[in-house]
Amino acid sequence: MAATADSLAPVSNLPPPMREYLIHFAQVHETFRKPELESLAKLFNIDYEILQYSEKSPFARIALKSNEAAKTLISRSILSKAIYELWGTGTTYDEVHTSVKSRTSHLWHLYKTCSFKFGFESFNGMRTESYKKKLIESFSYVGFDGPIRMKNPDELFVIMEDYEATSMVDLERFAALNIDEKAEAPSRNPTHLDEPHQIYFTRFIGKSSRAIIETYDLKKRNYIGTTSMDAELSLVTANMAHVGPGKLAYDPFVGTGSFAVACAHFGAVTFGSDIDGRMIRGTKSGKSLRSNFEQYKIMDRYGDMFVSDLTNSPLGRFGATAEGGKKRSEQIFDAIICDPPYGVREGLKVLGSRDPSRPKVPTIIDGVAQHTLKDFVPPKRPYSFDKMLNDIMNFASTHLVPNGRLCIWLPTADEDFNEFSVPAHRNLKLESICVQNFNKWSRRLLTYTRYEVDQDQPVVDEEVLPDATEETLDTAKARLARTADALNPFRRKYFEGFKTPPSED
Amino acid sequence: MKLLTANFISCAVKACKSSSLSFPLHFKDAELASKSVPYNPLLLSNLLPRLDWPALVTSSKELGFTLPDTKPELPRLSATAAAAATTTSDGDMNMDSGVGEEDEKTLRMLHKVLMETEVVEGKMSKNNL
Ligand SMILES: C[S@@+](CC[C@H](N)C(=O)[O-])C[C@H]1O[C@@H](n2cnc3c(N)ncnc32)[C@H](O)[C@@H]1O
Repeated sequence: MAATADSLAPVSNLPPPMREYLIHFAQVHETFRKPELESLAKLFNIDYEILQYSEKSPFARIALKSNEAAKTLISRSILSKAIYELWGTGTTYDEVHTSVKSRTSHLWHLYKTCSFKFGFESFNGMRTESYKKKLIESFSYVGFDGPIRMKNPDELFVIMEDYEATSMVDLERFAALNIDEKAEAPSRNPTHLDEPHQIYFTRFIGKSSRAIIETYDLKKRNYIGTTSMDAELSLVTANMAHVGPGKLAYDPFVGTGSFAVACAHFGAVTFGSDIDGRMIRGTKSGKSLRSNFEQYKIMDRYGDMFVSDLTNSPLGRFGATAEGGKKRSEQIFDAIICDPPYGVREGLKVLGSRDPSRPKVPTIIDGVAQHTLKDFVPPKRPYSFDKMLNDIMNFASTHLVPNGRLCIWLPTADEDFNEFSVPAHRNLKLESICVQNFNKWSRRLLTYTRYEVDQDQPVVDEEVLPDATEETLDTAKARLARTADALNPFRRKYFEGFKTPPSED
Repeated sequence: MKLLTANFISCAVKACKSSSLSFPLHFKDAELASKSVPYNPLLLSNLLPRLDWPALVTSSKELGFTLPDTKPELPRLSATAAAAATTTSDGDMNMDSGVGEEDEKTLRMLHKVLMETEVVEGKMSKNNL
């Protein structure tokens, strides 16, 4: 590895203000990691360049302008652990030492007297404690004379090793070795292990928000349900949506409020609604969405939670025009986050009677405000998933402020990724697609930004959904005659167990 | 329900969507509750352009609050300035919002009306008869 001899020289040749950092990611939800980072860089208006990134590795190299920028960027991240100043790297320890010496020898005096600690991180590999010590000691030329402090040191230096993805056989060897190590069996020589393919020497700069996953753990949450989204992905979604202090967020399918608490955690005043009032009211024993906000002490960011059908939402300023005959603005939210129903457990429903000629039940504003119809569960009629998506896109286009974001979770069948096309809307720019794979199916998180001004041109793309139009009574009747199953390709597939249909012969 | 929310919603019954009566909805037999929430001028500055002022004045009046007839003009606060602001022991944000005394009073009132007051009991209807 050819290291340059510049002051604070980057390992690669970066233009002057840029400095090189190492991000230590969690090795989970790999397709979400880079989009989360990019989303945060945009949110904080931070210039960056990703120099090295692989989904197979927890270590990524990134160029940033300052330690301050590095700290800010990582501070809200959920999928990374921490960020470090990169002092040197190489494929062997000899290379690392050469790199560290040429890049940082002019900095060593800064750390001569402070307290410090050395840490060690190995990915896919393992070292015995005694060998780690030897490796740490090999850096003694930096000449730090301050006290070594295991707790709260002034500076933390970390050696990181990245091993090529290992086979099961290797993993078993490691496991066996670990046991031997504990028993202090001298017969095994750890240096016989494969060597890492990349080594980094780093100085700690800042920690991520990963620890709050624990705080919001569903297991410890007052009110949850079968639809609750885990804390980690809810928080990541909030990061993708750019929520923050002074902003308004809304979940139109709020359910038990997983996204709502995540948005409020990051400072947004959060609103939510659901077609099913029971979700919001919660249980008789006082477990409710509101009680979650109380549990997490984020009540000051509790906007309102109410009962409403997204396909006929009360949000907006209908009918009336503002002074001067202009339409009243309906751009209210900075972020819309949701996980719409795809009707696996229950056919997708909207409020209204099965017979579309009968008038609709008025929408009930509920939860806090009492209504005479409080315990009335309005009849629901089946609805197609595509039409629902269409409604969501249109709703986001009218209700998001310029540059506001829409984050939406959608299912997709594994062996048939195109089962649901990526919805498009001319006023919404697709930012990223993150995929979460399960055993038999997968779902993805789509993030969009509302363009500052309305776009004239519809997106020319076969994936575009037509603009929502009022159905005629006849077509509605014909559609409703079909079953919910027939309306929803995903639901149908789910119950078919994702089997390939039998061939014709 | 908060007055903030009331400023965002209309009557969603299909038949009245095009009627000028569908927004704003009017409170009836409203019972109020109030609870103190940290003062957040950044939030208020973001909210101001999104409020329908005449509707807010109307609903506030119905609940016994008086707001000026015209929307206060405020310089837009930046999130960076807000991030640098300190907080008082009550959690209030302590920052110079760059407004005069009169507007500051309106802001405090807005905070009370929008963020600290909730209608806990009552009905909403299309006409205020
Ligand atoms: C997948 S769940 C969302 C769960 C939520 N993220 C949570 O944390 O619990 C979908 C929710 O949408 C609601 N829903 C179904 N149809 C709806 C509609 N037309 N409008 C609004 N909400 C609807 C369901 O009652 C359900 O709570």
